[in-house]
Amino acid sequence: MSVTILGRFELASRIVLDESTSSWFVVGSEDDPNGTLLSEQLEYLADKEVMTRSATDVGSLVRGSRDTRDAIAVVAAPVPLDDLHLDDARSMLQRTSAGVLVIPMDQLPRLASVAPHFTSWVGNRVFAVEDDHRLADQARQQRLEGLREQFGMSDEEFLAQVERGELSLEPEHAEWLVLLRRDDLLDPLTKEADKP
Amino acid sequence: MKRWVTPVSERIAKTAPLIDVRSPRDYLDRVIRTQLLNAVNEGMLAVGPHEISRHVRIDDQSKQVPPDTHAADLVGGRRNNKRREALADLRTPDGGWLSFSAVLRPKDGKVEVVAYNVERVYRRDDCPHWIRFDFSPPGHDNDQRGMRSHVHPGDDDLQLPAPIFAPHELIALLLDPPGPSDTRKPRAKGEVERP
Repeated sequence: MSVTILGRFELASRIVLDESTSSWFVVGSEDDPNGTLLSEQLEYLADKEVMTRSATDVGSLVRGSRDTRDAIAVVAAPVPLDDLHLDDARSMLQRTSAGVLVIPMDQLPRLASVAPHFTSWVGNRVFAVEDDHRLADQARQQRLEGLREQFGMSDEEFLAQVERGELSLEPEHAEWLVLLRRDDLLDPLTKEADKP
Repeated sequence: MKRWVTPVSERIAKTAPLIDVRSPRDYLDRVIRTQLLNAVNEGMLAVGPHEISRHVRIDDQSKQVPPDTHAADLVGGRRNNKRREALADLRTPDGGWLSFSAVLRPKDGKVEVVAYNVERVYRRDDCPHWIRFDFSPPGHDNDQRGMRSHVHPGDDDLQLPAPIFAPHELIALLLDPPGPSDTRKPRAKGEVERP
């Protein structure tokens, strides 16, 4: 069983490409056990309706799939995989549009051994999803380095100039302040002479 | 001396938009990435979901208190102020690319645009080779001259006043092919439009 690691946006784009097929996608998630963030992302991208259900056993899984047959279904099952009896339920999980089964990340490596027939049925549509909205620290450092080089100043020199009100803020300065967690300096300082 | 008109800085300031989304992150997910993916599907961007996932992100780890006043940095592509092709991330089919960064802040349940650079680079031989819209934070000297929001038509030393856009409006504007469409002849001054 191969597991593809994808960011949430990229995974949603991939699912939407197949939204009209009857495929199931199995998604291991660490930070989004109820599939809420993935559902939202799918709603933004998909033409079809997206419906979210939760499943704790085979009965709720089959019901969740059946009453969402024509929509993109996100079925979150934050339980041990054994409880879902996926191999037994396979024939009852036929769909007319894409289904996404969200399981805990620690259950993902067990999929092939707990449900070999279901795993073979879903083929390569097994994913581990990661958050992909936040700038990685390395990318943030590269942007900061670019700003220091462009303006020929260290972070400390830049902040000192802003705090003394000596700098006319350019758009890049606003970004620099945010990256340094000093967005409190974005608004113009009230000069002593201007105070009432 | 009578001015005859309201100063341009005041008129431009009135164009500042509030974006009807919950937060800067909501804007990234709901508007910007969706718009870029649509642009991919329409053939206006020569990248895939992977590049959008990797290079269009947000930095919102401010220490500001209360947290709902946090400003965030929305970025599209690596910083590339020397316009090196090797650093181009959001490539366009014509051999150019798009890059942007915008500082956004929650305000009154919506999102305020505080500052941005949005730049479109065209093919090397195109004239202008690039165009960039800049919007500076408040309090800048440019405020006085009505230049807090301006456009550079391919020259860092040349700037013209511009309305204040929301970043997605600029992305749409800059991804559309420049100039007249293939089916329309370029118009010369004084040309009479035929019915």
